[in-house]
Amino acid sequence: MAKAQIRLAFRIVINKDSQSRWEKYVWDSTYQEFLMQSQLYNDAENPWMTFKQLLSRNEKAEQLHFLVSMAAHPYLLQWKGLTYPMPDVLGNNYMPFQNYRLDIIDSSIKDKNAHEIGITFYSPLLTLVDIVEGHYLVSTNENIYEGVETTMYKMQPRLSIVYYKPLE
Amino acid sequence: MKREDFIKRGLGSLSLFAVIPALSSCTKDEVVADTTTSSSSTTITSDPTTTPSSCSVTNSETEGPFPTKSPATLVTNNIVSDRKGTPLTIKVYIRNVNASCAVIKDAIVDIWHCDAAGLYSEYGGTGMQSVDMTAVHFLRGRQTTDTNGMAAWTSIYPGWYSGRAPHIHVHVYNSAGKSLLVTQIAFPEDVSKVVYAQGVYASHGQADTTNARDNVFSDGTSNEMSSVTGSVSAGYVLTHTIYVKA
Repeated sequence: MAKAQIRLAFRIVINKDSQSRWEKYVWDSTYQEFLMQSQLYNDAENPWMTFKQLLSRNEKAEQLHFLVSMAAHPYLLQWKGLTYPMPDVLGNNYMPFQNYRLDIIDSSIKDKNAHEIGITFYSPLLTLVDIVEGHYLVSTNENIYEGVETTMYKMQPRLSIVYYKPLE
Repeated sequence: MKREDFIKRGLGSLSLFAVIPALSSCTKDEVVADTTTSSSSTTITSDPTTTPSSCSVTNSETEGPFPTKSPATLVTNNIVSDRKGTPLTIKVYIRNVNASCAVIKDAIVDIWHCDAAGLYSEYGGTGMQSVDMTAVHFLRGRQTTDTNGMAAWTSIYPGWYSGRAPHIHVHVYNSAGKSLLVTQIAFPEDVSKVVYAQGVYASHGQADTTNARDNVFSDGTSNEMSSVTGSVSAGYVLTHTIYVKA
């Protein structure tokens, strides 16, 4: 019984404790971009130190989420549309992503260790076939009555359904 | 701590960006070759010096593609992406007021402008459905000035949006990434009129704000007016000099 058309989103957090080389590259690159681009919104003589301070004083600094994403973009392209931190239960297939969004959790122009970002990966539309023992059973094919290939993702923190349309 | 100090510290490896782009296409295949070697030792249990009677390719296992250092998306001189419009080559020269107006080499220059419909690349809404991931950063670019103090981009003629005269935003940094100047470049109105009467610009019509009435340029565009030459068929070339205190 098909329940719905859904979109999944999975978010990772990258900070000073991140271990993989890919994460370290993204961390370095986005911090440098933050230092440069935040000057657009900061006071040259008496700059606010952290992103949260800056944001509370200048709403336009909200744009930094997007502007800083440009430094991460080449690394996202290296993954060629596969969310490697989000494997299916088999462990060797990965949630496809069509788009992503980077958000700056916080950062500081004087302390790199305060730099922390999130990246949310958005899947294409999937058919939610069922929920089985804490797993989403999904298919990329909508016409499930003819028998379709499916995959299963375990319910877990930072994995969310972000679009839902019931199917009759 | 001085502002320059922390920026220098954080940007110490910025110059790496410029020299490494050739590595960015390092492929997954190379990693597969590596891991195949290691996993083959577990699948062949017999004497490795004896040739088996039959064999098949060892399974490959990957943990995701091998990451390579990549330059920021900004560091590209063609910033057109998926946007349509009349070709425009943008040449910006940076000169130093504090050094007898000499050109500045290795200055970092960011530019951004709107597309033919007057839209900037940016995050929109909360859903991501309508955004093409590969084109999300259109019409934004970063270049470093050469020995002539010039940075150049291939782009399209900017459109316009209500309340503003046509313009390009510019942010100039020194080679360490310290902000020197945020400014805008204005366009000659006779050229804009010709461009906006044709092609993908025509449906949007003529700009609703002149340079004289624009709240950014109305104090005089003598320092901000660009020189634009060319034609709709051949494309245009914009040349502009920006003076900073470095």
